[in-house]
Amino acid sequence: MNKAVFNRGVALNTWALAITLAVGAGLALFFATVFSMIMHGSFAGGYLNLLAVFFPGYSVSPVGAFIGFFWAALFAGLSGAFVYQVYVRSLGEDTIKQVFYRRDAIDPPTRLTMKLSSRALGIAFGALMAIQLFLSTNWLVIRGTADESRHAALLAHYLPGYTVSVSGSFIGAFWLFIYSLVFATVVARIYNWLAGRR
Amino acid sequence: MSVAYETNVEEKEQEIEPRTASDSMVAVALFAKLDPIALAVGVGVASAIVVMAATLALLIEGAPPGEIVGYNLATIASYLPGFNVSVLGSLGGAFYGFLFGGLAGLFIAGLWNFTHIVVAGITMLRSDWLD
Repeated sequence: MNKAVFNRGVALNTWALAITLAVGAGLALFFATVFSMIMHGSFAGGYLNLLAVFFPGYSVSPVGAFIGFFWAALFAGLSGAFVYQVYVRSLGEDTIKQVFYRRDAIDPPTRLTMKLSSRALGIAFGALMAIQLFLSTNWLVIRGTADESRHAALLAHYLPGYTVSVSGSFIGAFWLFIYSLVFATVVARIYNWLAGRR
Repeated sequence: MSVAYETNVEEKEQEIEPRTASDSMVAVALFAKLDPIALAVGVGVASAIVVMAATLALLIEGAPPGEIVGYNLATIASYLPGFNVSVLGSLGGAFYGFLFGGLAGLFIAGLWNFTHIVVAGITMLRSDWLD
């Protein structure tokens, strides 16, 4: 296999997923902000405003919607690039096996449908979520607001042993890795089952 | 009949062998499209399970005397009308989870495919110009 072609394709796909998630997350936060302003007027953003802890300058306001778009797009773009890189590194050259390829296809086929590796996707998505929880928890610790972060502490309902502390960030990251791995596995299994039949 | 059956089986799926794959096959495999409907259903079902499980987990855990079960989770009702932390509410939450998860899956697959069509188009144009 030509490594240069493979690496070029991987680089393009990394950009593709980064752009896809950046646009999606940016628009999602933008419209959530606008929706909150329309629905609640001057009382808008009770919980959304908490994002300012991670997104400097963000608030539920007309200008804040654009600032939120920028930050959400940046973080989601980096996350998309991370997920694709981990996904490909888990599979190696077998990445090109992850397609529905039929013997009766014309050679070379013009467009194939992708298969998802549940193992690689689970590891990539699990690692992303675990790292994000680890970093966001420790950011709260570093800025000295860990004791006041009662909303973050609510995660203990779902992540046994989690606290807004350095040790808690490791425990929470472990649980979130497991949950995200299961989530991605379910997505990949259902996707492959359906895509293989269409 | 048996010959036709065997032919059909043989014509089904096979794997691309990385060691012997041609350049065009590597490119086509890496530029494979995502099935939008399959991804929408996959993400939708998984999201529905997450919202339902998150709601039911709070109900099972309960709350200290005098406190409302799942007060904070219930605030997402401002985005999901009709949602509340109850068994019936968990079904409503699963519906919303499926809806928004499905839309997310549809969006991701659609934009992924669109990006690849654009990149493939630019690459073809460039190669035409080079030729």
